[in-house]
Amino acid sequence: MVMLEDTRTESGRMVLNMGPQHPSTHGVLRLMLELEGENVTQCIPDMGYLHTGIEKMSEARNYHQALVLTDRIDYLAPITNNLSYIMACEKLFDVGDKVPERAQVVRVILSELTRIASHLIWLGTHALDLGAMTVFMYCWREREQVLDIMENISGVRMMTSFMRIGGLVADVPDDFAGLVVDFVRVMPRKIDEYETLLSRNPIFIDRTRGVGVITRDGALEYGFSGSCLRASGVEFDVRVNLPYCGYETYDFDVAWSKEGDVYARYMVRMREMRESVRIIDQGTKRLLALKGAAIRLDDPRITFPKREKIHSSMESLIHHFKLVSEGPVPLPGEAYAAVESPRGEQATYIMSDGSNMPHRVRFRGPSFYNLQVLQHTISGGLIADVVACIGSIDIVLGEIDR
Amino acid sequence: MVQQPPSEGATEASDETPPPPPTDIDLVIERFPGSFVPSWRYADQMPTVRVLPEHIRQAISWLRHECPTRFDMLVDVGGSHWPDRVEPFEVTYILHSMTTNARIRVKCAVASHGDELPVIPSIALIWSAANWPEREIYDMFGVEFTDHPDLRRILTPNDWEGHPLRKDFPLGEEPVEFYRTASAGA
Repeated sequence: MVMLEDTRTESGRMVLNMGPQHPSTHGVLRLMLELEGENVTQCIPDMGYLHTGIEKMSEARNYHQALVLTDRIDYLAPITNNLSYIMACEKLFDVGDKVPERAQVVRVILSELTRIASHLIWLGTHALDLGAMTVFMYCWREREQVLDIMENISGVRMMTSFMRIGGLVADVPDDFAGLVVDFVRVMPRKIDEYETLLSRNPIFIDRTRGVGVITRDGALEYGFSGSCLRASGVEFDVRVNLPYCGYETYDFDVAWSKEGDVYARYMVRMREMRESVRIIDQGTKRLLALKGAAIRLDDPRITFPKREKIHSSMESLIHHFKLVSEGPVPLPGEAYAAVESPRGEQATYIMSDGSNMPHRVRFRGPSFYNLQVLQHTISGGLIADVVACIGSIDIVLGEIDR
Repeated sequence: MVQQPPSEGATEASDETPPPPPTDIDLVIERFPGSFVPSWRYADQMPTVRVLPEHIRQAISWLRHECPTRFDMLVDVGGSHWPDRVEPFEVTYILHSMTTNARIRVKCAVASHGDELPVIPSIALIWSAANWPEREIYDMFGVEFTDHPDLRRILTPNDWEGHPLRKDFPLGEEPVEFYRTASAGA
């Protein structure tokens, strides 16, 4: 923490800079807090430290190339970013409803694995902020298992870029289903384990219950989405309300709560992890039933020819060269596609002018909207509650600053 | 004679199907003069309407509080820059209705005169969710939102020059500070 030169204002209040390097700000968020004793009287968030110009860069790349940038927006959930970008592209190319089923099933499994991995990071760091060290270590252990699965399918642990317009980059390896089944088997017991450490822990409850309350109206006023919105009593989940990738055919419940405090957000996310395990379980069964089915759409406008054909046919080689050098070219138009990322409604809005590069790409980061409420929640509260509030909103600065 | 009126009514009903109820888009067009559906391909099938800048605040407020489909969630506010159009600066609002799961896209476009920034009324005072997104559009596109409570740059530093997402803002690399020429290199 760095104190400003003029730390005392005229009214005897102290101005304190929290961040940008404070561990509890989960990235590089800077909060300017005005304190009266231990009470926060005013909070001004300052961000942009992680601004990388991803939207501008996407305008200078073709539709296949911009995919790798999307991994870096919300770096804790790269798969869901990939998915929303790819879905927007698919709508733009009018192939949104033609994606093969096996690809859809893999997309669902990976999205839910990502959700669990991201929630584990949130849980670990949130508990760590509140002084519980053990949960952090436990969460990292299970997250490692998810990252191993990601490494198994793509060779990369985090920035997988596994999706492609019209399907996936490749089929999942044969041992993928086995790894996922192992994970599904152990995970419910592990979630029980975290809950024994926190859910009835008196210190944790004292720090979280009734703290940072956001009402239903407040949540809608500030454009909340995701677990934060559901913890405030609004039953809205993009997977259910605007289904994509066949989520409507899976059997799962939407976790929600009425209280709207930090503890409610904790409980909603814990239940969400259990529901994700249920979805993955159903997805693995479908995956085994669809063994050997197509994983990518066969549309010469967007998908690359098969490798064997490139070696034997001149036309395929030219086709491949055109798709790599120029890239796919959509009709002019706009498409907005939203997915339920671990943090809320993650969306990509692409505008095309009919050239091979998007005219404008906008990424709607749920954290950007969720964080807006922070300055109003923590004003009037204690400085110790600031870390609890930031942790419970589960922000990722890569997504806020883009 | 007695049976005539009901039979007439029956034939009328079978010949003419009742007109479909007006959509939210129709209601907006009827209510706010000058608004229209742009002739553009919306590949996501989301109903879209363009509203004049002077009506945008009333239109958003009406959609939220009075429209039969209550659009009670502001999903996104985003900007775009189309230098070839007459009104190059476009702001897009996406609204969602929790009761019907319907979505609507409202657009608003303005031109800039000379070096002045293009001006659109802010909706941040009637919907707090728009506060930061409007600051971002101000930062990235240089669109000024009138009556915004706190219109400052949000992602770039306060002394940044230009608006990065405008099409005339160069994408190029930064100049290399310690550039070594061939003669100085030895």
